[in-house]
Amino acid sequence: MAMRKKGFFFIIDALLATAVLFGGLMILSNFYINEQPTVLVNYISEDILKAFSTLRIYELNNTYVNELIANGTIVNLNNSILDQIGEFWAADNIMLANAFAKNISEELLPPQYGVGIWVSDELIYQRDYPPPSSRSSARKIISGIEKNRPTKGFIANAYANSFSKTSTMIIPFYSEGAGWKGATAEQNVAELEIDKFFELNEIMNITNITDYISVHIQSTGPDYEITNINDGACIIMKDDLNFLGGDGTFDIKNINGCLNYGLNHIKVTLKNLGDNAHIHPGNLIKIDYIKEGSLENESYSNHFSKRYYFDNVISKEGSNELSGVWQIVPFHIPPDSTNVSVNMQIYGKNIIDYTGNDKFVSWDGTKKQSKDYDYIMFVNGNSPFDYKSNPSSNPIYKYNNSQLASKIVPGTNVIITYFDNYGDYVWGEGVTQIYSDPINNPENSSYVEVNYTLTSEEVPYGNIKITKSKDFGGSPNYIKTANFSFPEGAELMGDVFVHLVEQYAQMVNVKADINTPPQYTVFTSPSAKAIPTSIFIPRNRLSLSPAANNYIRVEEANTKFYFLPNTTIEYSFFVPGLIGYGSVFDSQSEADQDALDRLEQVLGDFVSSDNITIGSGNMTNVPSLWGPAIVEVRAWY
Amino acid sequence: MVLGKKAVFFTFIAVMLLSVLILSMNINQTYRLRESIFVTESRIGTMDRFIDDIEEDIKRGVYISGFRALVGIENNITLGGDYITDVNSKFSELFLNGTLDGVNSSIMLNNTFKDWMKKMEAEAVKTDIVINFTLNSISLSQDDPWNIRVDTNVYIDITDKRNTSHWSKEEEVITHIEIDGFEDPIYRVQTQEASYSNKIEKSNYSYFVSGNDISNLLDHIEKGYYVAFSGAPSYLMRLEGNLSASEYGIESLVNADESPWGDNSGSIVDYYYFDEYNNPDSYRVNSGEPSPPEWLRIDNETNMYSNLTHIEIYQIEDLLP
Repeated sequence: MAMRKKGFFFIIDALLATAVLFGGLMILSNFYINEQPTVLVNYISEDILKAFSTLRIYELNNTYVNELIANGTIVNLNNSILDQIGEFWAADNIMLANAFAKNISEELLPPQYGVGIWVSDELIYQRDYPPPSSRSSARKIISGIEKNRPTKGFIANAYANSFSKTSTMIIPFYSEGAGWKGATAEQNVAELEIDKFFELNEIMNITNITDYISVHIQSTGPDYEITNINDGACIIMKDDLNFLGGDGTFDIKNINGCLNYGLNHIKVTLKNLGDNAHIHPGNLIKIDYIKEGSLENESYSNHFSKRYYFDNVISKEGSNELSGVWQIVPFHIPPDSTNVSVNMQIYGKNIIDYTGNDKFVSWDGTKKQSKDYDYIMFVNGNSPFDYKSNPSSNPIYKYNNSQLASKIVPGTNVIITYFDNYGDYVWGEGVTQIYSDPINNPENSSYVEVNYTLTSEEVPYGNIKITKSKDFGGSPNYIKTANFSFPEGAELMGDVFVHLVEQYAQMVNVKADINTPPQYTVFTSPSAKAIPTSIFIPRNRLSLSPAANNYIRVEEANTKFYFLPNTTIEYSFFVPGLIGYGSVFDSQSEADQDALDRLEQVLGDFVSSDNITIGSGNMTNVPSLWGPAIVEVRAWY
Repeated sequence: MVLGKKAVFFTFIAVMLLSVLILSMNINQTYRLRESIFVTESRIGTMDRFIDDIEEDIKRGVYISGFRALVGIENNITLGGDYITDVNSKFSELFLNGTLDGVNSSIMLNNTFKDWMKKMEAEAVKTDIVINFTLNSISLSQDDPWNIRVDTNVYIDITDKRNTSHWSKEEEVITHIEIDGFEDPIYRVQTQEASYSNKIEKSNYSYFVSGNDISNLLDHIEKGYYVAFSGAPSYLMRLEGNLSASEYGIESLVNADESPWGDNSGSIVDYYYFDEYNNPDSYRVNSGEPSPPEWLRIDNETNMYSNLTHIEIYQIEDLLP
């Protein structure tokens, strides 16, 4: 019995031990055996993602992919599989992305595994079998793709290849004249002849030409040719002018069709009985034109070199047997220019070496011996830069830069030359002449040669120059103020001038800045009657802002001498003829159109859109920082 | 004794039950620990994958911002008509800030490397990760004629908001950007003609002359194609207006009919043609089919290793006078 009880005890013991061991094994198997498939699936999703992001298209050996390459659907063979799926997705080509992903994953993954691919939560592809059970996922960030945005886009720039621009050119006559006091006999009146030569470029399409005539002549007496344009092509007679009362007069004549493309010659003849005949400030020719241009011929240099030729001025004696000539030649030096160099040559003809004892009232108000001053020349001053007492009959005076440099000023410079006369005094005879023939004899003509270098910022590469003018308007007055603004779109300031128009003139003062009234003096006549027709306004006193008003004020020292409303501001500016890359577009045509629109918008006010052809440069394959998109791979077993 | 034996039995049962209880408690505790470790492992795995992701995507970010920064530089040269000084610093400014000399560049709008970093930071936040980037350095160079190499050193600091882990590391990223399609600045700048330009396109001709047939050479010139020549300026040097020799140089032959400078009676190899002060002796190609233009002159300068000349490259030895 004891043995049986012992057996019972051991049986119970064995059963319990078995139960404990079995329970333990069950628990352990739950922990270790059931977890294994989850871990495996986890690895599968990550492995798929890794394979899809590292395998390149060119590394695949897949019939379907080869077809896509062959038909041009896939272009970039260096794309990874994920890149390519992303590109299809971004292009909203989900069907293609689905087929592509299906083909690739079927090759890579055994059939007992389920797989699904999502891009930014949008299903691209999912296996139907096996049904999802134990699921794991892996995600990847891909920058540069976004739904319905091009992964590689297009940009374009544009330039005005050819265009038509409206502009204005002003050809001023210098203040110049004769020195006789007049003749008593009208039949043998002394004469002043002026020859002006200039060339017009053939690419100008002239729309309007106006002759501003501002002269000091006898209003009465026989009629005669005041202006002869191009050897009789157009003639303006004295009696055609509308005299304002007195000898000083101003009139405007339309001379359309009178000028030639190429060389033009205008001969002005003036006569006066009681006073010397001369041209007043404001005598000019204003040409409105349309210019066919292109960026290629809108070439600018930062080195400026120009000869300002004197007009050919001839004083012919009348019955009083007296003659003399004078001329005021202005030129300008921009204040911020460097390497300034000015050389000058003055050629007189038929000059009398006066030996008598007549005296004249000089620049300082004293009386000086005429015989000591047959030639007098001023450079920006109220005392002579040079004078001669014993000139030859045809003297040539040359001045180099080292002689002139100390007298040259930034802004408007004025050279005043007299032969055998000064002010209202004259002591020459016969035919006295300041000689200039820039067309046939440029080297022996009278001229001022100006050279300077502009700062690089002022060289408007890729810009189109536009010149506009604006009359002062209002009523005649000895003080007049006008303002102007540069238009919106102007990127750089060009030269600005004021062209004075006076019925009579003595001394002027010109002020300009952005205040009203302007305070900054840009020019003061250095001596009596030293009034250039054109006065340069320094850019640094003006504002390019379209919101700013730039004021110019002209003041005459003699309160009885008036500026006329036709006093003109001539201002030039530069608008871009080239615009850079803009936004990134899905197609080249969209990018090109955008570039053209932007350029036309810039040029619209200044260049006729009907006459513009635009070239463009473009760039493809421009990537964008779209997204990022999140690619998710889910796998199950 | 029976009672005593019963007691032993019950004691044994109690011990066994106690053992089972202790074992089950232990198992439960182990399970909880394993669960905790699993969560931590999972977080660390997530962060690890995120870092892997960032390391891979950073190349895309550098490529996109770098490509656009080069476009910005090209645009600046086009609009200004002047070369760029210190291309590395200008590139760096565009790449990071989207500005050039402090002026915003439209091409870089929302496409700077800072924008990429912000986007990655936003993605990190979605998974409770805080990531910070510091761009330590960026530089441009070339290690082949047709690509710009962008070297970037980025410090990455990444922290789990749940405080499970923290990484910090420096990442060296090297990205190459093809110069194909970019504009060669010397055409526009040297001539100062805003409408005159040439895009870089690698010549697809393996030979230029075959016997008397020079049609490939003429087409190469007509299309403005480029060849590599270790003696010509590289693309990066061209951006700075440096026309000296580089081992990664590229060159084109200028079509004088198209150039505003026309026939300058010298070599049409671009960096000689556009250099007023350096034009070596050149030789006119005076025979061939089709008939060569009068301006087709090529110098006979050698490369940096003195083992290849222009005449050899363009295979015109037999066509010279």
